[in-house]
Amino acid sequence: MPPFEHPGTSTSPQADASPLLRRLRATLHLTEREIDAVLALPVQAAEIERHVDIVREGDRPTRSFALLEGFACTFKFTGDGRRQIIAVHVPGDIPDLQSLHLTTMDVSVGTLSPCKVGFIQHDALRVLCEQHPRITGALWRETLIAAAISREWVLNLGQRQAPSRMAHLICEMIVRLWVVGLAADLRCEFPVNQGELADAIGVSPVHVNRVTQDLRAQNLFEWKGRHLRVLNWARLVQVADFDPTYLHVPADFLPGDGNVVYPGAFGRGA
Amino acid sequence: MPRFWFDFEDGGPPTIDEDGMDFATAEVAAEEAVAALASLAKDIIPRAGPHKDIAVNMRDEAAQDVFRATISFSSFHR
Repeated sequence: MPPFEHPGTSTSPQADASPLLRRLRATLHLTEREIDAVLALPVQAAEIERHVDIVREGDRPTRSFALLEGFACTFKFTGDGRRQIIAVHVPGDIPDLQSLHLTTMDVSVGTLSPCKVGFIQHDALRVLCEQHPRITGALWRETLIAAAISREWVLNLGQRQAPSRMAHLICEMIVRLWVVGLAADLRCEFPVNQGELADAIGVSPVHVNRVTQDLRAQNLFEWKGRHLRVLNWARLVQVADFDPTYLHVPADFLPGDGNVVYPGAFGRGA
Repeated sequence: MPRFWFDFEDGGPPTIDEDGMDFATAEVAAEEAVAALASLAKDIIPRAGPHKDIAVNMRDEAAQDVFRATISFSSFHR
């Protein structure tokens, strides 16, 4: 049996329709019992408009949510009202999974676009985890990957120049959307405005505007509204100084036709 | 909301803003222009050599220049 399953090769339409299940199955071959257990989770679906907080810093939630459709972000404010977007979330993410174990939210999560979410009570998650330790492992792995992404964001914000920061964010989004089947042909919807991009890459909005035009002028991508299409993936990866190791995606899930050389860990810092 | 355009100069040919951005007032737009100039300076000046002038020029919908900010950098060894 293959250790990994590409999204879309599942055994039932219901299983295929669950972004959470697709996500777990990308890294773990789930048994029928495990698949059934995930599908049997009581999920309270909700539709949320864009720019609405789903959970706030200081909240003590008794449930977590899976992002089913749309984009969300994790963010924090300084005391004097400056916002940093700390992570962008795509379908399949459980942005506040940490709240299962960390009672008080130290970040907020809100929508970037209209979203469909599925709330899952912590009690139900605990029962699932107790009965299916491999699923516990898969959920643990999700939180570890979220932390790895945050570490790369620290590098991005601390050390990269603005054009590379922007290119890096685009590369990351393309890979993460590719894995969940939302970036075929290196085209995707990426519904963020310049203010949100500015808050994500830590530069001012006018600078974001300048950098976006510069990268577009280099024919690296087309970006109109929320429609993003990468034109030159290999070159964008170079400009971004992008090494997808931190996303912990199987190598054959990465975009590119085998010609793209991702800068490896060896040689960095030399 | 009114739209403004931000052209940057850093010694080479000016990079002209094709798209523009909307801001509530010219004052707010100018503040953002300054923030962007400072942000750009952080990237440019360390590798600029001993002297560098950078500037941002802001135009309005009537194609009038309405705001300009500059940063002048120079250094020398004693």
